[in-house]
Amino acid sequence: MMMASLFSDPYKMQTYHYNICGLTVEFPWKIDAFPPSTQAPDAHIRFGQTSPPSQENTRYHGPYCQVAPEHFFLKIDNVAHFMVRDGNLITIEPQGSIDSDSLKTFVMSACLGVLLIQRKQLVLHAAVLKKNAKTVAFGGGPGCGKSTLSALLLKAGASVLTDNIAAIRFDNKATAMALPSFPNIHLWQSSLDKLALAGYTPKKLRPTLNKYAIDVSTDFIGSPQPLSSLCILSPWNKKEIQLETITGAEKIFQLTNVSFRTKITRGLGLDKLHFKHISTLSQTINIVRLSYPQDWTFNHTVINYIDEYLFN
Amino acid sequence: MKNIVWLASFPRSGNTWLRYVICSLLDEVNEARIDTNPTLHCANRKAIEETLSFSVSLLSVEEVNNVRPAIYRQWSREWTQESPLLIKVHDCYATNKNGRHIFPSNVTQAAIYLVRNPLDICVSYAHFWGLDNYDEAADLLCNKTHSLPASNTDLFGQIYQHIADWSTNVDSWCNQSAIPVKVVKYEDMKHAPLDTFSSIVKYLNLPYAEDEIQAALQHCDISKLQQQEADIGFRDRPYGGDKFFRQGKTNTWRDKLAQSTADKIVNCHNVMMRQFGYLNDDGQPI
Repeated sequence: MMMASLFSDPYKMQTYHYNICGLTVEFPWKIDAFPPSTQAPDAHIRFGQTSPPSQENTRYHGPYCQVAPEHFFLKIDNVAHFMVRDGNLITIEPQGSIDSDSLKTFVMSACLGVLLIQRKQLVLHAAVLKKNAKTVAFGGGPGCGKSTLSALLLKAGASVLTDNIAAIRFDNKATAMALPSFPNIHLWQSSLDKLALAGYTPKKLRPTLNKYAIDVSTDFIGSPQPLSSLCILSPWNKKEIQLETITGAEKIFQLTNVSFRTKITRGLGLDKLHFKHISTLSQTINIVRLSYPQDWTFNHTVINYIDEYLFN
Repeated sequence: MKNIVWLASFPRSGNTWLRYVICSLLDEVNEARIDTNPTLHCANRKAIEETLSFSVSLLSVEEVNNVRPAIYRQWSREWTQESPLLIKVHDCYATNKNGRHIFPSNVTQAAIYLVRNPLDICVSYAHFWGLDNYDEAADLLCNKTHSLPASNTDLFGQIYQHIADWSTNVDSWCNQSAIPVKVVKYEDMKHAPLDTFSSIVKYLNLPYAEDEIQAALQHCDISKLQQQEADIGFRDRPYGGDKFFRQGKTNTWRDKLAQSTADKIVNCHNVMMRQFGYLNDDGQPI
């Protein structure tokens, strides 16, 4: 579906409500497999005009984004301009004849995390899975293998709360709750081929990209879960697996590293709150670093290791 | 502001060693630590995505190359130190589909380009990738589509970089005129380290005397880097080989490469090997 026609007639559009990260979000599209909500929306995704924040309010000016308190503006050439305001509105201004799958992909990755930060939530770049009553977040640098590991753990009997954007809510100082996002895992074609996932339906994220969203609804947990551990994925070139507990100030360093878009958080003026959140989280959960060879022949051993030491 | 210095080379040409030595000088440290990156890498996904505010894994290679100049201009703007911003590069010096240089000249102070005998790179590269034989490494050195990571779908912390074959990579940096470049031979770094590193320091207008450079060379001695790798491993760069810091020697190819493999490399890179003195007038390796 091309977006120009939708944009020109936005008021006639049907909307759909889904439960995402503890919020009811109103979408301009129907999205198969997303958990529906009957509640009044907490946040809206709409087509419309976008604009950057004023120069005097802008606290971070990147090459493609401008950030001010309560106002995030992102410009992606030949895709769309996006604006996230006040923690409750994502506005999309499509560019050219961009397809709806590309728009959804950027909204759910780049914009959703910002909206959650604006709502003063802690957001980690992490996959969260549950097995044997233990809920574990897996974080690390981009490309460290979070999604592939999620798929492998799924095959080994774990359930998924989120693949990439982990919103954390503190019910009290002793409990950090991981909120479920949506039942998708994003995988490249090459990983899909190697994983041989049976019974899951892949859908291209963008028409021009060999990366797919895998619908994992049947293994999705739709309710918040108490987070027990954060596992930092750290592939190395040794042929062995090592799990070490992170302690002291290193916990803060690692939590900062896996936090979603720290430059944007600073631009939104929420860096002090973010520090408070990660300080609380550092005292609430166990943080470990898993060092392992990024070699498919080791996958079975890595999964067994995680089962034994983190999901038990 | 022209504050970026690109530390460029084909892989396995001494780039990491150069970065550790210069950063040892700039940071005034007594020991190079391999568990921290000495400089930014132009392909560092985390740094790029923080700057972009979205994931590059949602873009095609062409789209990524189109945003790269703006990313490096942003890094240049955000660099507040007096010393230059050193950035490691293995890409060819190239333009993107928008016709813009990926490494923009208007924020570039200079480039240091390291050249190493491709016959020795072949030996090192085979171990780096964990290949079964040297001939496979020779094929990579001769492959005009050679990239790092090997495909756009296996990014592990770096964006896709077009390395190309050895000659194309060398030629793209050494024979361009858009940015000033100092060409340094790896063999000179090995056999005359103090003179060679001093000339680099002088070229970059860095305020260090010979005794400081000598101390930095000692801090970054390969035996120390090898020992650290044995102790703590080399993280987040999980290439196929088991060691990143191997021998660093020159002329090892004579004992390792089959004649047919050496011939393949010489035939493929004859012109550039002659330009840099790796072949004699008869076309034989020196």
